[in-house]
Amino acid sequence: MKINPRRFPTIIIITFVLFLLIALLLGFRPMHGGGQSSAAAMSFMLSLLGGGIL
Amino acid sequence: MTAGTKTKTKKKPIPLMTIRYWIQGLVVFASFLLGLRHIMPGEASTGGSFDAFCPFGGIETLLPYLFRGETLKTTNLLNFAILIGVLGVSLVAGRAFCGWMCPLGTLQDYLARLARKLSGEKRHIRGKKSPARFPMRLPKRVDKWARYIKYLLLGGILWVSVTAVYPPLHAFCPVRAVFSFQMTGLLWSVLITFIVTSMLIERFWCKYLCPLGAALAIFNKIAPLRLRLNEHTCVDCGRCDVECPMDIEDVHANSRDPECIQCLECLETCALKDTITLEMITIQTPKG
Repeated sequence: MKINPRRFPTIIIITFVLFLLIALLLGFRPMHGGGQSSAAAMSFMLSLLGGGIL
Repeated sequence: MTAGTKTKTKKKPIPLMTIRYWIQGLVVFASFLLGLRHIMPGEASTGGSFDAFCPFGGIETLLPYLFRGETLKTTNLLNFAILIGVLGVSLVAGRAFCGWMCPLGTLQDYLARLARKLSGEKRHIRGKKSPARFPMRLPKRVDKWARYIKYLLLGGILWVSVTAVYPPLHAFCPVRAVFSFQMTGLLWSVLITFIVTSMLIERFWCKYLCPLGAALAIFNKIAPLRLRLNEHTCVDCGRCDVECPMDIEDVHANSRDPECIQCLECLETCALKDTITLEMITIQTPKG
Protein backbone atom coordinates (compact mmCIF):
# COMPACT_ATOMS: atom_id res chain seq x y z
CA MET A 1 0.00 0.00 0.00
CA LYS A 2 1.50 3.31 -1.10
CA ILE A 3 1.90 5.99 1.55
CA ASN A 4 2.20 9.67 0.84
CA PRO A 5 5.77 10.56 1.95
CA ARG A 6 4.48 13.82 3.39
CA ARG A 7 2.63 11.76 6.00
CA PHE A 8 5.84 10.06 7.11
CA PRO A 9 6.81 12.66 9.77
CA THR A 10 3.30 12.55 11.25
CA ILE A 11 3.38 8.75 11.35
CA ILE A 12 6.69 8.55 13.20
CA ILE A 13 5.88 11.34 15.65
CA ILE A 14 2.49 9.85 16.52
CA THR A 15 4.07 6.40 16.91
CA PHE A 16 6.76 7.79 19.21
CA VAL A 17 4.27 9.64 21.39
CA LEU A 18 1.90 6.66 21.51
CA PHE A 19 4.58 4.20 22.60
CA LEU A 20 6.01 6.71 25.07
CA LEU A 21 2.57 7.15 26.65
CA ILE A 22 2.04 3.39 26.81
CA ALA A 23 5.42 3.01 28.52
CA LEU A 24 4.59 5.75 31.03
CA LEU A 25 1.24 4.12 31.75
CA LEU A 26 2.97 0.77 32.27
CA GLY A 27 4.95 2.27 35.12
CA PHE A 28 8.11 3.49 33.42
CA ARG A 29 7.66 6.91 34.98
CA PRO A 30 10.22 9.65 35.52
CA MET A 31 11.95 9.19 38.85
CA HIS A 32 14.71 11.31 40.30
CA GLY A 33 18.22 10.04 40.81
CA GLY A 34 19.28 6.52 39.97
CA GLY A 35 19.20 3.01 41.28
CA GLN A 36 15.41 2.85 41.42
CA SER A 37 12.87 0.22 40.68
CA SER A 38 9.15 -0.04 40.05
CA ALA A 39 7.22 -3.19 40.82
CA ALA A 40 4.82 -2.64 37.90
CA ALA A 41 7.62 -1.98 35.40
CA MET A 42 9.63 -4.92 36.67
CA SER A 43 6.70 -7.34 36.42
CA PHE A 44 6.06 -6.07 32.88
CA MET A 45 9.71 -6.69 31.92
CA LEU A 46 9.64 -10.16 33.43
CA SER A 47 6.39 -11.00 31.68
CA LEU A 48 8.02 -9.95 28.39
CA LEU A 49 10.93 -12.23 29.18
CA GLY A 50 8.57 -15.04 30.08
CA GLY A 51 6.71 -14.55 26.82
CA GLY A 52 9.96 -14.71 24.90
CA ILE A 53 9.60 -11.23 23.42
CA LEU A 54 12.81 -9.80 24.89
CA MET B 1 -9.41 41.84 -14.58
CA THR B 2 -11.83 39.63 -16.49
CA ALA B 3 -12.98 36.24 -15.35
CA GLY B 4 -10.94 34.61 -18.11
CA THR B 5 -7.66 36.02 -16.92
CA LYS B 6 -8.24 34.96 -13.35
CA THR B 7 -5.91 32.15 -12.45
CA LYS B 8 -5.95 30.18 -9.28
CA THR B 9 -2.55 30.24 -7.65
CA LYS B 10 -1.87 26.89 -6.06
CA LYS B 11 0.17 27.04 -2.89
CA LYS B 12 3.42 25.16 -3.25
CA PRO B 13 3.66 22.51 -0.52
CA ILE B 14 6.53 22.71 1.95
CA PRO B 15 9.31 20.37 0.77
CA LEU B 16 9.55 17.18 2.80
CA MET B 17 13.17 17.85 3.66
CA THR B 18 12.26 21.28 5.06
CA ILE B 19 9.83 19.52 7.40
CA ARG B 20 12.62 17.12 8.36
CA TYR B 21 15.03 19.96 9.11
CA TRP B 22 12.38 21.63 11.26
CA ILE B 23 11.72 18.48 13.27
CA GLN B 24 15.45 17.91 13.70
CA GLY B 25 15.94 21.54 14.74
CA LEU B 26 13.19 21.26 17.34
CA VAL B 27 14.76 18.11 18.80
CA VAL B 28 18.15 19.83 19.05
CA PHE B 29 16.53 22.85 20.70
CA ALA B 30 14.70 20.60 23.17
CA SER B 31 17.95 18.79 23.98
CA PHE B 32 19.68 22.10 24.71
CA LEU B 33 16.78 23.08 26.97
CA LEU B 34 17.09 19.76 28.82
CA GLY B 35 20.81 20.38 29.29
CA LEU B 36 20.16 23.92 30.53
CA ARG B 37 17.39 22.75 32.85
CA HIS B 38 19.76 20.40 34.55
CA ILE B 39 22.34 23.05 35.39
CA MET B 40 19.77 25.44 36.84
CA PRO B 41 20.22 26.17 40.57
CA GLY B 42 18.49 23.58 42.71
CA GLU B 43 17.82 21.34 39.75
CA ALA B 44 20.34 18.73 40.85
CA SER B 45 18.23 17.98 43.90
CA THR B 46 14.79 18.17 42.30
CA GLY B 47 15.22 17.19 38.66
CA GLY B 48 16.12 13.95 36.95
CA SER B 49 19.60 13.59 35.51
CA PHE B 50 20.31 14.55 31.90
CA ASP B 51 21.11 10.90 31.19
CA ALA B 52 17.57 9.92 32.18
CA PHE B 53 16.26 11.26 28.85
CA CYS B 54 18.57 9.15 26.68
CA PRO B 55 17.06 6.14 24.87
CA PHE B 56 20.43 4.42 24.85
CA GLY B 57 20.49 4.76 28.64
CA GLY B 58 17.57 2.31 28.56
CA ILE B 59 19.73 -0.24 26.75
CA GLU B 60 22.67 0.36 29.08
CA THR B 61 20.57 -0.14 32.17
CA LEU B 62 18.40 -2.98 30.83
CA LEU B 63 20.51 -5.92 32.00
CA PRO B 64 21.31 -4.45 35.44
CA TYR B 65 17.58 -3.80 35.89
CA LEU B 66 16.67 -7.35 34.97
CA PHE B 67 19.46 -9.02 36.97
CA ARG B 68 19.71 -6.73 40.00
CA GLY B 69 16.27 -5.13 40.01
CA GLU B 70 17.54 -1.54 39.92
CA THR B 71 18.77 0.90 37.33
CA LEU B 72 22.32 2.18 36.98
CA LYS B 73 23.21 5.48 38.61
CA THR B 74 22.14 8.60 36.62
CA THR B 75 19.55 6.53 34.75
CA ASN B 76 16.01 5.74 35.81
CA LEU B 77 12.76 4.26 34.48
CA LEU B 78 12.24 7.22 32.15
CA ASN B 79 15.09 5.82 30.03
CA PHE B 80 12.95 2.74 29.37
CA ALA B 81 9.93 4.86 28.46
CA ILE B 82 11.93 6.84 25.90
CA LEU B 83 13.58 3.66 24.61
CA ILE B 84 10.13 2.10 24.13
CA GLY B 85 9.08 5.21 22.16
CA VAL B 86 12.14 4.84 19.93
CA LEU B 87 11.54 1.10 19.52
CA GLY B 88 7.96 1.87 18.52
CA VAL B 89 9.17 4.18 15.74
CA SER B 90 11.68 1.53 14.67
CA LEU B 91 9.05 -1.20 14.62
CA VAL B 92 7.01 0.89 12.19
CA ALA B 93 9.67 2.67 10.12
CA GLY B 94 13.10 1.13 10.76
CA ARG B 95 15.87 3.55 11.75
CA ALA B 96 13.69 6.62 11.19
CA PHE B 97 14.63 7.85 14.68
CA CYS B 98 18.25 8.25 13.47
CA GLY B 99 17.22 10.19 10.38
CA TRP B 100 14.51 12.38 11.85
CA MET B 101 14.71 12.61 15.64
CA CYS B 102 18.25 12.03 16.86
CA PRO B 103 19.85 15.30 18.07
CA LEU B 104 23.33 13.95 17.50
CA GLY B 105 22.50 12.91 13.94
CA THR B 106 21.08 16.37 13.32
CA LEU B 107 24.24 18.08 14.54
CA GLN B 108 26.25 15.85 12.23
CA ASP B 109 24.05 16.96 9.33
CA TYR B 110 24.67 20.60 10.27
CA LEU B 111 28.42 20.04 10.56
CA ALA B 112 28.56 18.24 7.20
CA ARG B 113 26.75 21.17 5.60
CA LEU B 114 29.17 23.59 7.22
CA ALA B 115 32.13 21.52 6.00
CA ARG B 116 30.74 21.62 2.45
CA LYS B 117 30.37 25.40 2.62
CA LEU B 118 33.87 25.87 4.02
CA SER B 119 35.49 23.58 1.47
CA GLY B 120 34.22 25.07 -1.74
CA GLU B 121 30.49 24.46 -2.23
CA LYS B 122 28.71 27.67 -3.15
CA ARG B 123 25.21 26.31 -3.65
CA HIS B 124 23.98 22.82 -3.01
CA ILE B 125 22.27 21.33 -6.04
CA ARG B 126 20.19 18.31 -5.09
CA GLY B 127 21.40 15.13 -6.77
CA LYS B 128 24.58 16.68 -8.15
CA LYS B 129 27.94 15.66 -6.78
CA SER B 130 29.31 18.45 -4.61
CA PRO B 131 32.60 20.09 -5.65
CA ALA B 132 33.44 20.44 -1.94
CA ARG B 133 36.41 18.53 -0.62
CA PHE B 134 34.74 17.71 2.69
CA PRO B 135 33.01 15.69 4.00
CA MET B 136 34.75 12.83 2.24
CA ARG B 137 34.28 9.07 2.18
CA LEU B 138 36.60 6.46 3.60
CA PRO B 139 37.99 3.92 1.11
CA LYS B 140 35.28 1.32 0.40
CA ARG B 141 37.00 -1.58 2.10
CA VAL B 142 37.83 0.39 5.26
CA ASP B 143 34.32 1.81 5.33
CA LYS B 144 32.75 -1.64 5.04
CA TRP B 145 34.69 -3.08 7.99
CA ALA B 146 34.60 0.06 10.12
CA ARG B 147 30.79 -0.08 10.12
CA TYR B 148 30.98 -3.23 12.25
CA ILE B 149 32.68 -1.30 15.10
CA LYS B 150 29.32 -0.03 16.36
CA TYR B 151 28.02 -3.60 16.75
CA LEU B 152 31.13 -4.55 18.73
CA LEU B 153 30.66 -1.45 20.87
CA LEU B 154 27.04 -2.38 21.55
CA GLY B 155 28.03 -5.92 22.57
CA GLY B 156 30.85 -4.58 24.77
CA ILE B 157 28.59 -2.04 26.48
CA LEU B 158 25.93 -4.67 27.22
CA TRP B 159 28.60 -6.99 28.61
CA VAL B 160 30.15 -4.33 30.85
CA SER B 161 26.77 -2.97 31.97
CA VAL B 162 25.95 -6.13 33.95
CA THR B 163 28.50 -5.29 36.63
CA ALA B 164 28.63 -1.51 36.14
CA VAL B 165 27.53 1.18 38.59
CA TYR B 166 27.30 4.05 36.08
CA PRO B 167 26.25 3.61 32.42
CA PRO B 168 29.38 2.40 30.56
CA LEU B 169 29.19 5.28 28.05
CA HIS B 170 28.58 7.90 30.76
CA ALA B 171 32.11 9.38 30.93
CA PHE B 172 32.56 9.84 27.18
CA CYS B 173 29.07 10.12 25.72
CA PRO B 174 28.99 12.63 22.84
CA VAL B 175 25.39 13.60 23.64
CA ARG B 176 26.51 14.70 27.11
CA ALA B 177 29.52 16.41 25.56
CA VAL B 178 27.27 18.49 23.31
CA PHE B 179 24.17 19.10 25.41
CA SER B 180 24.79 18.56 29.11
CA PHE B 181 26.84 21.72 29.90
CA GLN B 182 28.71 19.77 32.56
CA MET B 183 32.05 19.38 30.90
CA THR B 184 35.02 17.35 31.99
CA GLY B 185 38.42 17.16 30.28
CA LEU B 186 37.37 13.88 28.66
CA LEU B 187 34.05 15.32 27.42
CA TRP B 188 35.88 18.31 25.88
CA SER B 189 38.10 15.94 23.91
CA VAL B 190 35.02 13.91 22.87
CA LEU B 191 33.32 17.12 21.73
CA ILE B 192 36.30 18.23 19.65
CA THR B 193 36.68 14.75 18.13
CA PHE B 194 32.96 14.69 17.37
CA ILE B 195 33.07 18.06 15.57
CA VAL B 196 36.21 17.29 13.58
CA THR B 197 35.17 13.77 12.50
CA SER B 198 31.65 14.92 11.56
CA MET B 199 33.14 17.58 9.30
CA LEU B 200 35.60 15.18 7.74
CA ILE B 201 33.14 12.32 7.20
CA GLU B 202 29.38 12.76 6.98
CA ARG B 203 27.50 11.08 9.86
CA PHE B 204 30.77 9.58 11.15
CA TRP B 205 29.26 8.69 14.53
CA CYS B 206 26.15 7.06 12.97
CA LYS B 207 28.15 5.03 10.48
CA TYR B 208 30.90 3.69 12.68
CA LEU B 209 30.31 4.24 16.39
CA CYS B 210 26.68 4.68 17.42
CA PRO B 211 25.60 1.69 19.53
CA LEU B 212 21.95 2.81 19.47
CA GLY B 213 22.03 2.79 15.66
CA ALA B 214 23.49 -0.72 15.85
CA ALA B 215 20.63 -1.83 18.08
CA LEU B 216 18.02 -0.32 15.75
CA ALA B 217 19.59 -1.63 12.52
CA ILE B 218 17.72 -4.95 12.66
CA PHE B 219 14.38 -3.10 12.44
CA ASN B 220 15.17 -2.05 8.86
CA LYS B 221 14.64 -5.69 7.90
CA ILE B 222 11.28 -6.07 9.60
CA ALA B 223 9.63 -2.65 9.57
CA PRO B 224 6.49 -2.58 7.41
CA LEU B 225 6.95 1.04 6.28
CA ARG B 226 9.76 1.06 3.75
CA LEU B 227 11.08 2.51 0.54
CA ARG B 228 10.46 0.63 -2.66
CA LEU B 229 12.08 1.03 -6.05
CA ASN B 230 10.29 0.66 -9.33
CA GLU B 231 12.92 -1.13 -11.42
CA HIS B 232 11.02 -0.48 -14.64
CA THR B 233 11.30 3.29 -14.37
CA CYS B 234 14.70 3.61 -12.61
CA VAL B 235 17.40 4.71 -15.04
CA ASP B 236 20.25 4.14 -12.57
CA CYS B 237 21.31 7.79 -12.72
CA GLY B 238 22.86 7.67 -9.24
CA ARG B 239 21.30 10.92 -8.01
CA CYS B 240 20.00 9.13 -4.90
CA ASP B 241 23.49 7.76 -4.13
CA VAL B 242 24.90 11.30 -4.12
CA GLU B 243 22.43 12.57 -1.51
CA CYS B 244 22.53 9.57 0.86
CA PRO B 245 24.07 10.83 4.15
CA MET B 246 24.96 7.27 5.14
CA ASP B 247 26.80 6.67 1.83
CA ILE B 248 24.91 3.47 1.10
CA GLU B 249 26.10 1.98 -2.13
CA ASP B 250 23.38 1.66 -4.79
CA VAL B 251 20.68 3.19 -2.63
CA HIS B 252 18.00 2.21 -5.12
CA ALA B 253 18.86 -1.48 -4.74
CA ASN B 254 19.43 -1.45 -0.98
CA SER B 255 16.40 0.20 0.55
CA ARG B 256 16.40 -2.35 3.39
CA ASP B 257 20.08 -1.89 4.16
CA PRO B 258 20.68 -1.90 7.95
CA GLU B 259 22.57 1.37 7.49
CA CYS B 260 19.55 3.19 6.03
CA ILE B 261 18.25 5.89 8.40
CA GLN B 262 14.99 6.43 6.47
CA CYS B 263 15.75 10.12 5.97
CA LEU B 264 13.97 9.98 2.58
CA GLU B 265 16.66 12.12 0.93
CA CYS B 266 16.74 9.57 -1.93
CA LEU B 267 12.99 9.77 -2.42
CA GLU B 268 13.11 13.55 -2.44
CA THR B 269 16.06 13.58 -4.86
CA CYS B 270 14.70 11.13 -7.42
CA ALA B 271 13.54 13.08 -10.45
CA LEU B 272 11.41 10.30 -11.91
CA LYS B 273 7.83 10.11 -10.75
CA ASP B 274 6.87 7.02 -8.73
CA THR B 275 10.33 5.47 -9.01
CA ILE B 276 11.17 5.53 -5.31
CA THR B 277 8.00 5.29 -3.25
CA LEU B 278 7.09 4.83 0.38
CA GLU B 279 5.06 1.71 0.99
CA MET B 280 3.43 -0.08 3.86
CA ILE B 281 3.79 -3.82 3.61
CA THR B 282 0.51 -5.44 4.55
CA ILE B 283 -0.24 -9.05 5.23
CA GLN B 284 -2.39 -10.31 2.40
CA THR B 285 -4.93 -12.94 3.25
CA PRO B 286 -5.97 -15.38 0.52
CA LYS B 287 -9.36 -14.60 -0.98
CA GLY B 288 -12.28 -16.95 -0.78
